[in-house]
Amino acid sequence: MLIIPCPYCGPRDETEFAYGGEAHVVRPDPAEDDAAWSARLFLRHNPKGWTRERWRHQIGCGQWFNLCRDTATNAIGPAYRMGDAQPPFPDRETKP
Amino acid sequence: MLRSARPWSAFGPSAAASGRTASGLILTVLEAPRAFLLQGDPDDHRLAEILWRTIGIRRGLAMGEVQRSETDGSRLATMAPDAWLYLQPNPASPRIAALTDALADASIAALIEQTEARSWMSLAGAHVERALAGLTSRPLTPARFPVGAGYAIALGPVHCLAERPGMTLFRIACPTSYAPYALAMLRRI
Amino acid sequence: MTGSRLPAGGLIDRTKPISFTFEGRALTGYAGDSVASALLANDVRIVGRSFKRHRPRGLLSLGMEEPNAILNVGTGAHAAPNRFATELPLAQGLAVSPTRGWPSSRFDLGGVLDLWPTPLAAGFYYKTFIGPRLPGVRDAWNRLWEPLLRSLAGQGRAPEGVDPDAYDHAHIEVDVAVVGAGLAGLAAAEAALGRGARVALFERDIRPGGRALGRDGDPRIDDAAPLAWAEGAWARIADNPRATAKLRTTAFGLYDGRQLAVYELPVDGPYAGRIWHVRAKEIVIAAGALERPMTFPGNDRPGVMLASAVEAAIRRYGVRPGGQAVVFLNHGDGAGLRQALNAADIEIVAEVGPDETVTGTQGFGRLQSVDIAPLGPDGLPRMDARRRVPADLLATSGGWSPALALHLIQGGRQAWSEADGCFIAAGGGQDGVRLAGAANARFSAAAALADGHGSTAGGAPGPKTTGGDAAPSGQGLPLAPIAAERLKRQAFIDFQHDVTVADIGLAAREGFHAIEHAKRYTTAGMGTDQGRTAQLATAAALAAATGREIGDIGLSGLRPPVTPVPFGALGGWRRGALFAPVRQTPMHRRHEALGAVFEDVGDWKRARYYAAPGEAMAPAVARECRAVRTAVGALDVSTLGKIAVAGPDAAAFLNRVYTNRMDTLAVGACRYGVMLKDDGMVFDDGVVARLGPNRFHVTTTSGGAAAVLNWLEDWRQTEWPDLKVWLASVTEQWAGVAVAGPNAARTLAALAPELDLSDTAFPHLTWRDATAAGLSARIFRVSFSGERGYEINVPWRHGEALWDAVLAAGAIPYGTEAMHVLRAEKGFIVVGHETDGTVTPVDLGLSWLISAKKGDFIGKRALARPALTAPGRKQLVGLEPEDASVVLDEGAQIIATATPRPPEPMLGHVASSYWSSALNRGFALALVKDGRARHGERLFAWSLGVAHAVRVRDPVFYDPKGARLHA
Repeated sequence: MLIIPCPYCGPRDETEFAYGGEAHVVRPDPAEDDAAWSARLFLRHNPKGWTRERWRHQIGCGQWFNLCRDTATNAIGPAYRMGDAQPPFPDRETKP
Repeated sequence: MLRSARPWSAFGPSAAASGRTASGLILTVLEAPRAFLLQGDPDDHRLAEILWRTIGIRRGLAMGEVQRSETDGSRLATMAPDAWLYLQPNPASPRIAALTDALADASIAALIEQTEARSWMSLAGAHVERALAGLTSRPLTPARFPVGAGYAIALGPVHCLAERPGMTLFRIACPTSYAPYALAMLRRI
Repeated sequence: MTGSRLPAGGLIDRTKPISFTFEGRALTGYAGDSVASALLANDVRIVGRSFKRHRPRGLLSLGMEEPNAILNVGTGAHAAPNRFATELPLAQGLAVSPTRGWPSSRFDLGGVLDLWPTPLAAGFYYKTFIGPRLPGVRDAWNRLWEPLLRSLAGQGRAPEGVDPDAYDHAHIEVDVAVVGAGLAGLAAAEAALGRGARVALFERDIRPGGRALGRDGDPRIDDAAPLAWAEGAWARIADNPRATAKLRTTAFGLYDGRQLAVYELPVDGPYAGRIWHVRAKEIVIAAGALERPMTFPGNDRPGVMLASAVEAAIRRYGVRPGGQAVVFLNHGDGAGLRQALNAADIEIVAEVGPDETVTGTQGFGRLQSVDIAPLGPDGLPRMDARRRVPADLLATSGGWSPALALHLIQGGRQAWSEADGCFIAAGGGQDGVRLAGAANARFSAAAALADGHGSTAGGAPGPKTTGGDAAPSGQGLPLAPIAAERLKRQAFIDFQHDVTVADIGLAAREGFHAIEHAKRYTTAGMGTDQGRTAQLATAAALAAATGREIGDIGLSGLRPPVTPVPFGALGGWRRGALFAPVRQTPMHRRHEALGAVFEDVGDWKRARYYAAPGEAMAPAVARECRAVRTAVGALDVSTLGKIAVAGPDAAAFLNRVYTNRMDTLAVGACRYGVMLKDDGMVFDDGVVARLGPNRFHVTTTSGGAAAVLNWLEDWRQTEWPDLKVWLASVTEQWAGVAVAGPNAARTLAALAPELDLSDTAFPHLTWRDATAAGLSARIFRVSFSGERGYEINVPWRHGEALWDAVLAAGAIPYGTEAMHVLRAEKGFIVVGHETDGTVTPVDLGLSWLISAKKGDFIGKRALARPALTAPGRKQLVGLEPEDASVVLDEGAQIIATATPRPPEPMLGHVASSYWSSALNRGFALALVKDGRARHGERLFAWSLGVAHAVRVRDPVFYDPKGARLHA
């Protein structure tokens, strides 16, 4: 089980959280074409390595936030609030 | 005076009774305080002013903080950056009317009564931390759950609110519909 | 004491004898014995029969690497199969028996399989036992051979009945968790405590000390004998208030976030076992090293034992495992073994030198002699020069391998170390997890202590050793050279699964060159011992067979649990009545008293129907439906999700969430609405009531309440943070009773005489506050049945009182089944029946609910996608079976013919199907391609081989004009 650092409550067990998929997926303007909408609805990046994703502290403050996680090692990187600037991924050399 | 009339039948006729848990903790079913979920902008000075004027409490900002009234045993627990739970043990307190009137039109903040939605119980005993550690992975040491704090917490599969009035005393509120199950679960620890 | 017990010595307590039975034979041991050591002391040489070939097997080891002594423990519901005799502390009255061997392990009829083992070579089931391919005989493997072979093999008897034992769970968070209380682990724990850390120390054995329990030849530590030092260190650690020290506790898993899972066998108390979930900032794996046996022909005969097991038998358990011993080591650390053999008066009849090897053993059920041959210049044994030596004990060691299981299962890597002669940890895994001691290839006592203590600049110094310090040196691969192919079939690599060197060669010849393939093809390493004695030999044999270096082969992967854990322990307290959480309404007792049969809606218990004594479901439901359509019924609707939406932007928020407009809803009015996901599919539906300009009361389906609130909160927080709106659940703030039927107004009037119930004062789809039955109530005039209806909400605690009053006023209770029938007769959808995440509101005929006069809402843009506007989409229709008595299966496929021939085009499916007492016929709602254009068409509903003719029609079967709402 991961330990997830909620920006409001501090590090907590993964079981307190709900996962929310890829972060920073922008909802297109309704005037955009079908391709843009299909991408937003159905396509997600699936990187091997560091990714940014959304989590909600369900059994806790209830807030949504973003988290950096390495999908290959489950190393946890910085968490940041909605709307905050995206922090860089941890150094490649750093072990999980 | 509101009296509880809770149906505990699915878990036995004595399910509503206070008593001892398997390891000897004292489990007590409590009368529910009036409970109101207050939601609004933490930076809104109008909200802060209303709270001070009507219930005499200043809202906390840190998760788990529980601000207490100096006079009547009521308290305000910080549940989220923009949400607090007002708990008033006196069901007829005039402060309730004052608060609800001040926020009646929901233009500054939302005040939603949730008194009925929570059932309250307490667990007391020297080993209460160790016993509850069988039901939750959330650390319960005084450093991680200080005396006086209140947090959302999962006990088994039940999403509860837990306050810690003392080192060996936890006060737990679970959703009313889960109460018979929660009590049966707590009785085993 | 008869048998092989030495007259004195050992760490057992000879003042505490313990009786137990093995295969029904009454035996005795002492406190401090394991079942294995007690069996050895009682001269039990055969502890079971092997898996495939039913060969007699004895104890190879006395530690956790044991592959042979797998026992059934106990009987009946307490039976526990597959327990390792070496891991079972001896307890009074324990009843154990071997896993295989009939009628007994000594005289086993299954032994006949070993007379001609060739058909049972690795992978035999891919090549044999496929036929006979005779007419009328289908699938001989599944129906004939496999059941036969499984009964011959088998891995223990499953217990009968529910596990009566109770198991505990505990969560603990520490700074440093140490696995293993041997020299390195104790040093690590003390060092951490010295730094002020909170420490957890877990030891699998019944006492601390690790190697100090069975070995001699280790130096003194801090001027004490090793075992005395270990016990002193343990006592100091256990006394420390910042430490949690547990014996009889095995670490079986290491997961993300440095979460360690350990299984404790408590000595006393109400629990048979306890799982600790441990979170630590630092984890020290001081799990020691496991000795490998040499692999040679005849190496599985009872009497062949690991050298460390022979030493442990003598020193720890006071057992003399034989009288004449052959010693076969591939390293130079034999002094301790020789000393132990001498002390136990065991004659060393031969020591196999570095230029010799063992080419065979003899004896049935018990070692009697050993063949030793010199190695020729080609490195192979010279069979012509071999000599036969009488012996009843063969002490063998192929060297030591660090116990890397926990390191590997959390993603750690391993690499072959030529210098150490073993695989060692090579990085990977999580930060903050380190190996120490023999697990880290630090085999001498001094090195293990220093490694455990770690390097702490300025910290207290670690334990100091004085005196000679032995460690295995020069150990190589544990494969003895074997000349003949025939002999390779007698050299066992995996004892649990009867896999030999020949089998590995076979796998290599058939192209299984990767270790993971060879493992799975031969099943080497797939036993409950997780291949502890087999892994390295498998890799070595595969390397030899494919001409590669062992470093290139590697060890196969491991997965938790490292040792078996009972399912009951994993479940802990979550069993029986507590297995799944249960939610109840305040009227639950009343439903029970009325004979309700309950159904699960999420965690809720809802009354499905109320059965009079002896009444079956169908007549009960028909009766309830008739009551609602002709008189008045009462339904407990407390479970409905209720969400308070408040704030100056509440209306704007709801506008963006529903397909229809909510900003135009007047205070005091209600409106039905449908929510879509952003892909345009129906997600939930419910009634919205406006309580004030900035306040709304939103209802959702019972099962969807939490999902809807989470969904709305997601949009509020992350997509529209600029809107001033707040959401709160009030599902359990309000209990509710729906009063429905032509007499509903009369019933309500009896409860709330002051309330004006005329259609002008209280129209359909409005709400009023009132006093009902003396309770302050909020009453919504809504209808899910199509009859005049009122949903009376009172504070949750008054639900039972309200229910009583409603029934006293003459309403007939009805359950969710009747509710479903009634709404289906009206063509009302239920999310999850008529929707499944692929159905749009247009498909459901709800285009009228989609507002064209408002801005963007969730799903609006998607509805314009070509796929959602194309013809051929499934649309909501009603179905009338031609045979009116038929109630179709839900899920039946709609096809165009009575005799489908695959691939038959499927036009849709039956979503909801019931018997209607109002219509006196079966009827259904279905989703059918272009359904709205097919009204009147004759189609077929196919399910489980039967096709029923149906007529497609409008989904509103009853009162299409809706006149009954005002009746």
